[in-house]
Formats: sequence, structure tokens, C-alpha cells
Amino acid sequence: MKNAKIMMIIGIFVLVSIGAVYLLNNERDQEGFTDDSPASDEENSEEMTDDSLADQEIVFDGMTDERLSAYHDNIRRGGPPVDGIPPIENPEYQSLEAADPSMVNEDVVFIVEAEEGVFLYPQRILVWHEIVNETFGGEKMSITYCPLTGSAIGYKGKLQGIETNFGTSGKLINSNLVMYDRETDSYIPQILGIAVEGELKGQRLEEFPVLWSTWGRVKEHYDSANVLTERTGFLRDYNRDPYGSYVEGGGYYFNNALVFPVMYENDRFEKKEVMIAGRVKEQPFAIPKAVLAEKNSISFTVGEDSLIANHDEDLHTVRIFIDDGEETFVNSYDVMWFAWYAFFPETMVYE
Amino acid sequence: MNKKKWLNKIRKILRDPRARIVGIAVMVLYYIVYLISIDHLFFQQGSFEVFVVESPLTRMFALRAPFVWEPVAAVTLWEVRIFIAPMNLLLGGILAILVGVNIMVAVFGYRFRKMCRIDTRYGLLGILPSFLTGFACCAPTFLIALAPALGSFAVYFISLQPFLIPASIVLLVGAFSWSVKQLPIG
Repeated sequence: MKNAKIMMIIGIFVLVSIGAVYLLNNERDQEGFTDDSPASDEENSEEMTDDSLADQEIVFDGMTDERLSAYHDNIRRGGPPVDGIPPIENPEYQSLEAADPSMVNEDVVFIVEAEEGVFLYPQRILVWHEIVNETFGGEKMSITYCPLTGSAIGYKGKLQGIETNFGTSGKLINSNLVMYDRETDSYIPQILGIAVEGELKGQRLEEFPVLWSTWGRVKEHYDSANVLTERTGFLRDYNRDPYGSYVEGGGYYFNNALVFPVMYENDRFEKKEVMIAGRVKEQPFAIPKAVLAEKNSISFTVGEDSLIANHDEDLHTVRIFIDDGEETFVNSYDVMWFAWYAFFPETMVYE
Repeated sequence: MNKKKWLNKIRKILRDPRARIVGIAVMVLYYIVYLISIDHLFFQQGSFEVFVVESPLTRMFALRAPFVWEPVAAVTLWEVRIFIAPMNLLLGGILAILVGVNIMVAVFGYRFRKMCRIDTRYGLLGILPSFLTGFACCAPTFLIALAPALGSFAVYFISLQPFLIPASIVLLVGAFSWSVKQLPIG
């Protein structure tokens, strides 16, 4: 009996040792992680006005090679292998009427208004695939969604003249999906949209609008639309969201817990507060969606540009323009505060 | 212990009616729970349907996560839907058999516990790790649920995921061997 117990303890020790060696060999460089961001100091915060954003609290000299390398060094394994979360390559669609029986009004959907029509992507399908590779107007485009950072972003599949589409690397940074481009294997974090490693390091993807709304709103708003079906080519339980529920308001999306460490943290807002975020001439900005919904329209300044953000009450979406007479469109998207700040601690914030 | 003695002991365990019934029941239950834990068995409204993906022979070896393979077919029977991933059906079967035989030894050996001061329940240690392989998209399912409690330690469990199935098998085989050896039967 005693021998058996000793053998059991030795066996467990061996397993733990193997695990420890594995962990040490894959340990991320911890220098990139900090939670002492000066933005959390009260003396650095400034009172906001309605038509200006806060001054930058962390200064970066643009997207330097060093900064890109820091992002790359903080990439972690998420668990799945490459394309273990399989992108949808041949999406099939159905009409609003055909899709309605399998949806509820509170289901989150992502909207793409393309040349060919309006396309709707139910979050309950995209949560299992994260990327849909499509072609609109003859151009390769990818609708991307990261469940852990609550971000749905559209990217055109062209980098330095190379036409490409994207896969899931199985890795994460700041809890955000790290895509890889299939032509060069370059790693591109979804929120950053810039290759941080590989042949295309430093190249930024061109965005296109993907709007975050709900089924009840879109079916009232659009006369017709193409709704992604569950015929994705893969077998998943699309009636179950493994992270939580936007319909019932529970789970990961609504608690304060993070599964993965982040590069920078700031407690100005709740971690998962939804922000409308984007970049104007590389300057990141973020506006709490709830504030924008309350005010309906705001004017603000980012750098030298005056911007207007309009809230669409019907769809509960936001469109932003530069107030330059030509209404130059500025792409923006929903994203959780913690993730936006982790990538862009220098972000300007509207409150 | 020589091979003949091993086989004799195993035959006696397998012939014991109570051990056999309990062992088989646990095997079936474990298999069902295993398939549920990897999202290959769930409940939804339906009647009868069979669906097979394109290129099933290629797809069946594609990994979704450590020790979780892509399903190649789906069978819906009334309100139960089963995803058929041949590799997971095989792995689940192996694990279920190992769990079942450990239970059989535990049940069979229970009568000897006071007489010979032996405990054949160690086999149960191997069961838990095999349930932790269920994967959500980006992180194991159980981590999502435990993240509020585990905090930043949650992520280190991901590195342990590849070890869980092998650890289960080692523990189950080891415990079975040890338990059989302890039994005071010829």
C-alpha cells in the first residue's frame, strides 16, 4: 500500500514536472505586460468637453518596428491549432423570411452593406468560425469576429498588391484573435489590423464597415437581406454560445473576468464596456456606445480633424465622418474597452 | 505476477455479475458524458436526419483542439443530435473501457477492503482529466466558466490541455494494473 502511494506521488510529480518544463519553454516574455499604466492615475486624467477628446496619456512614436515586435512577443497560444477554428470559405445565404424561424429578436447580427446587397452574419454562427472569407464587388473581403474582445471588423484581402484571405492562427494577443494571411503566413491581430510578423510586417489592412446590431432591428430596417445559414461546411451546435449569451445577458460577455493577460490595463471603464472605436490618421479614439446612444450625435476632435459621430436609433449602430465638407467616412466598430486599451493605451477617449 | 495469474484475476472480475453490470453502466454513462463534454452530443429539436460533410475521409483527421477532431457526420434522432468524429468515437471508447474496468475492479474488490486493507478506488483518479478537453473556440470551455475565480492563472491551464488525455490514460491503466495486483484472488 505504501509503495503504491509512493509510486502514485512519483507519477504525479513526473507529470507536473513535464508540464512545468513545457510551460517554461513556452513562457511569454513578461516585460511586455504591465498594469501600471499612467492613465489610471487620477492626476493625469483631464476633464472632457463635449467637443474634444482627452489628451494622450501614453505617448508612442507611431507604429514602430519595436512596437510591432512587442505585440508579436505577447502572442499566446489560445489552444486550438491553425484553422482549428475554421473560417467559413463558402458561405451560403437565405432570405430574412427563411432565417427568421431560427432567430430571436435579441440575437446579435453583423451587417455588411455591399454592392451585391445587404449581408447579415448571425453572431451565434460566427462565434464558432470567427472569419468569413467572401468576395464582394470582385474584391476579396473578410468579415472577422473575435468573441473574447467583442469586436467585429471587416478587412479587405489585399496587402501590398497581394490578394489574400485569412485564417485563424489559434493564437491570441490581448485576448484578441490573431489572424494569419494565407499567402505569406504573416500574423495580424484582428483589432490592430497590422501584420506584426512575417513578410508583411508593418503593413496595415484596409477596413470596411461591419455594423453590430440585433435581429429584431435589422428585419424591421431592411426590406431584404442575405442571411448567413448554418450550412457552413462544418458541424457545430449553432444554438449554443460557448462563452455566454448576448440574448440572456450572461456569461463571459457580461462579467469582469479576463481569460488571458493583456499588455496594458485601465479601469476608467468596466472591462467589457462596449466602445465605438477607430483610428483617424493612426490616432486611435474610443467613445462609449451607451454615451453616444444617449446623445444621438456628437462632435469631437481627433488631432487636427473634426469628426461627427451619428447614432442610428433603428439599428443601434454608429457611423463617423470627418467634418470636412465631403463627409469623409471613418471606419469604426464595437469593441470591449479592455481590449481597445490593451492595444492602444494612447487612445483618446470621449466621456 | 505472471501472465496466467493476471488473466485468471481478470476473468474472475469480468464474471462477477455485480461488477459487470455496474462496469458496463458506467462505461455507457462515461461515453455519453465524454461526448457531451466535447460538444459532440447535445439536445435540440428535430426528427430524423443524417448529414455527411464533403470529403469526410480528409476531414476526419483535422484537429479542432488537442484530442478533439472535426466531426464528419451528424445524426439527429428526435431531440438528440450526435456528431460523428471517428477519432473521438475511438478515443472515447478507449477511455470508457478503461473507466469501466476500473469501476469493475473497484466493485469487485470492495468485498476485500476490510479483510485485506486494500483500496481499489484509485482508478477513479484518471476520470476527471479526460472531461477537461472540451473546447470552446478560443479557450477551453471550463476556463471560460472558471475565469472569474482563477484570474490570470486560468491561462496556464491551456498549456496543460495536451497532457490531459495522456494523463488520464496513464492513470487509468496504472490504477487498473495496481488494483488487479492487490486483489487476493488466484
